[in-house]
Amino acid sequence: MNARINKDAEVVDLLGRRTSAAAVSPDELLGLAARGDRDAFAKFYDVIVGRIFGIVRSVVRDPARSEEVTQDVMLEIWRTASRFDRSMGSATTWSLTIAHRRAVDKVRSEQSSRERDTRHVQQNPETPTPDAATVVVDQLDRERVIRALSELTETQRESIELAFFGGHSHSEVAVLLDLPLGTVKTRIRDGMIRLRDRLEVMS
Amino acid sequence: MSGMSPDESDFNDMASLAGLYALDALDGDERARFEAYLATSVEAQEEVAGFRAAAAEMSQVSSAQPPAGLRERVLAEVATTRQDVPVVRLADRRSTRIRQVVVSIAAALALVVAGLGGYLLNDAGGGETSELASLLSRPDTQFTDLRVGDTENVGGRLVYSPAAGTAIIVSDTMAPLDSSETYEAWRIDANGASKAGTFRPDADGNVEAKVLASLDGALAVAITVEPAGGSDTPTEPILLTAELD
Repeated sequence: MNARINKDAEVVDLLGRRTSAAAVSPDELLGLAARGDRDAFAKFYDVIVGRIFGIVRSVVRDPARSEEVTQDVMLEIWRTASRFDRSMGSATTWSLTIAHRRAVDKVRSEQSSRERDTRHVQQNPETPTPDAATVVVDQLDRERVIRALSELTETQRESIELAFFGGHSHSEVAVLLDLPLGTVKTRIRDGMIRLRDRLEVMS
Repeated sequence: MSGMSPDESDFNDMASLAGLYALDALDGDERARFEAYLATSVEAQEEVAGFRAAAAEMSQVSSAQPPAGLRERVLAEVATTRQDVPVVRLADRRSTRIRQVVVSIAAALALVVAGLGGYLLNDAGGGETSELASLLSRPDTQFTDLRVGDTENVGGRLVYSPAAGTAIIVSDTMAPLDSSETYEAWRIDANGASKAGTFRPDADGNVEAKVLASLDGALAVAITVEPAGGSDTPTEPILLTAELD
């Protein structure tokens, strides 16, 4: 199912469903959802689910389990929407924070029983394999992120990508990159400061 | 892990973990300890918020559409899933940025009256009303604001007598929880968070809950929402924090 979100943030998918995301911001949609508005939540789902499923799948890998985790995350967002506090960050950030943590927790809780295939991530963590179902979110924003990542040093970028897209802990990152733990800590911190400033995410 | 001492270098070390925390790259123990530290540091909360926003931006690169059936399943579950009630209700957080620096005894007493109906899970025998009254009569008793999140807003007070070794959480703004959840108090020190009792407000949001941990050497008391029965480590977000001197 391909969908395109253009610069005016109007969502149109192949079934012709339309969401005027431009008229109501994600923050407002989640605020309405917190007061029990299921239509607003459905619109919020349409705006956010690609980002959530994408990062969950990037960490969890298995498509079926990724779908399960995404479902749990969306339900948690609905259930706890009243805890969303705009003064602490955007609805998008809030939702993705929940999604990334759930995905990472899922993988870590299963880690003892299953060896994870880290080779794929090690070779190519920064480009999650695009497939037919990949959504082209706002291409300009995407390129902005890719550019910001490319401006990091090699170690900063690799460490951050292994942690974020691969869901690896910093001790795993240290092993994968064959670097001392302290170096990984410093690179991730420096890299995150640079990314934050490049992406100008702070108000 | 157990060798932490409460000196400044530990806090500098903690501060350097904000990026790892925002990427969920800390291991279980480290995460719990960082969260305990986070409850005490507005700077760290702001740094984490910025890093999380940057991480959220990164997720644009991996965006992918889930199978179409998911939308219907989620919306069907939503239709039958009760939402959590708001945790702390304050009129308008942004317009009421008033820090009450000095809390008079009169104001504290007004809170006590409001708190008399409070229902306590950690109540050993119904004696805390008189315990609070006796706390209020002690010369060494301190009244510390319980701040909402990282704001300057006050969601209650911690009434604490170091000499008596007794502390009571008093509030009239805690939202009722359903039976699957409870509020839990945490003692925060340089080694992290330790359990300090669970409690529930009455239907009007009144709370009067004794802190079930010694606050000797503690840096702060924090309050979170946990599954009924309480947790072993605090679950984000930290709702209320009282920083001790």
